[in-house]
Amino acid sequence: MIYLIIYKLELAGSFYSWRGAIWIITVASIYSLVAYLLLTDKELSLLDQSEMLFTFSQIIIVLGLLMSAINSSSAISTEIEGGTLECLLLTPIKHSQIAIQKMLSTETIWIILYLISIPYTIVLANGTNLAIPAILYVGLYGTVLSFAISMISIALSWILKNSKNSIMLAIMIVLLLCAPSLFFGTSLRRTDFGLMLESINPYSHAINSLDSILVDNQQAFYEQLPHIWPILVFTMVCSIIFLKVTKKFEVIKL
Amino acid sequence: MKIPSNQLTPRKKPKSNLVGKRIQQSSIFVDLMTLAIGLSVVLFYWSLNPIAFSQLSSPVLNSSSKNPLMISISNPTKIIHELVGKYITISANLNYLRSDKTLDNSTKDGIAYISIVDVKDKIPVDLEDWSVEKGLYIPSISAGQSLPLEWNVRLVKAGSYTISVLFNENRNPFSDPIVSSRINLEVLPKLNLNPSNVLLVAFGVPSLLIGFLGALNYLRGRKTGVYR
Repeated sequence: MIYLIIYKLELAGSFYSWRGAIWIITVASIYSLVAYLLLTDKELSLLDQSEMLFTFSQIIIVLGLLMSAINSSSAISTEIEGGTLECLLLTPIKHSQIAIQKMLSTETIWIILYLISIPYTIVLANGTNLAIPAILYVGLYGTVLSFAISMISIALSWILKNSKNSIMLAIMIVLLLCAPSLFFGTSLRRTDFGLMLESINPYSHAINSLDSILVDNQQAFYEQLPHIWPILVFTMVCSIIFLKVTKKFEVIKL
Repeated sequence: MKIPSNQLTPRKKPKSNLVGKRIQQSSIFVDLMTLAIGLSVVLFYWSLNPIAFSQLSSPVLNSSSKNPLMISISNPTKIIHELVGKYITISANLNYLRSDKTLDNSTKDGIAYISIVDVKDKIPVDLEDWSVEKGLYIPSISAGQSLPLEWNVRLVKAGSYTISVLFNENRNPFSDPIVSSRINLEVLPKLNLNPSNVLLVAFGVPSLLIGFLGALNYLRGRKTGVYR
């Protein structure tokens, strides 16, 4: 099928060579290290299993977002820098299709990263009823957020037309999204400023939702709806920006 | 005219009399000092505990002891032994006793909440991860009524704790909180060391991936002529 040529090419670059696939081994090694430390270190083993799962879920989502941001933010700019965008635009594929296929290849990377994490999640949740909720909700939040970050990064890649700048900016966006949950203390998060940031931050909603699912045992879907809809709104805003920016690519000699 | 020497010099008082008076004066002085010290000690303690003293004399103590509101813990055991990560249920009853003074239509409202104190660290526990429901608002409780209260508490950290249930009345902001008796809680540590053999997954998954990607790379190399 002609429409999936770019998607296949992108994926081939990520899997068919050792250099391309080294990220998969690295991700699996990070998961192994975290799971091994959580379950064998005496101090860390004192943590409740739900806390362990929550920590591990955060790592999966942060890794997924970073991978999505880095992979997508160089998607168009590398074509421009390599002088291959002209050839790409000559193919009988709509410009938005090119961008969508590149975005789908990033999404596939997230899915592989997520699938690798499942055995670790099952081991960490051993003896509790948290394995299935953890797998399902991490999958949901990771997929939706990864879509959003991929789309905004591809849009940035086209706007900036420079890989270095677009990668830096995309990483900064991911760090900004993660900042309230990862770097703010509990007291700061409870101030008006912290609450305001958390209410508009899709990543915070995902993490707070996972906290209530895994730590507070509130696993019903309707209980998580207040966290789900802001993430969906963010993804919709990102998709509007993505579709508007990637409607037409033009080759401009820099 | 020669004045007799005994007329010019004052007559000497007998020595024993003087000593007696001095002893008498010093004993009065000692008594006064003791009284002053005693009074100052009493006043000092009074100033430290003004509420306690005022309560002794005021009818508040009597009123609190006769408070028609009462919380009783309905857990079967007053000492709970459980492992970290488990959930326990704290059940209590808020009772509004009917007394001669209470009007039939009188109602009270307020907030019932639990308090957990870490006995070893001597600090109250932040309920952030311990309980989803921190406080329960009771919109009204009428005389003679009894309301069941329940909290699901997750045992986050090992240690010794006491749990009590409190009720603060809303209408009277200066009223004392109603406190239940305490439940002693012993949370035992749980080591999650290597459940279902993490080593198998921790080393197995990367090894499998290396094998799979290696095979994929080799097959592609064979196809394209890199490996002959």
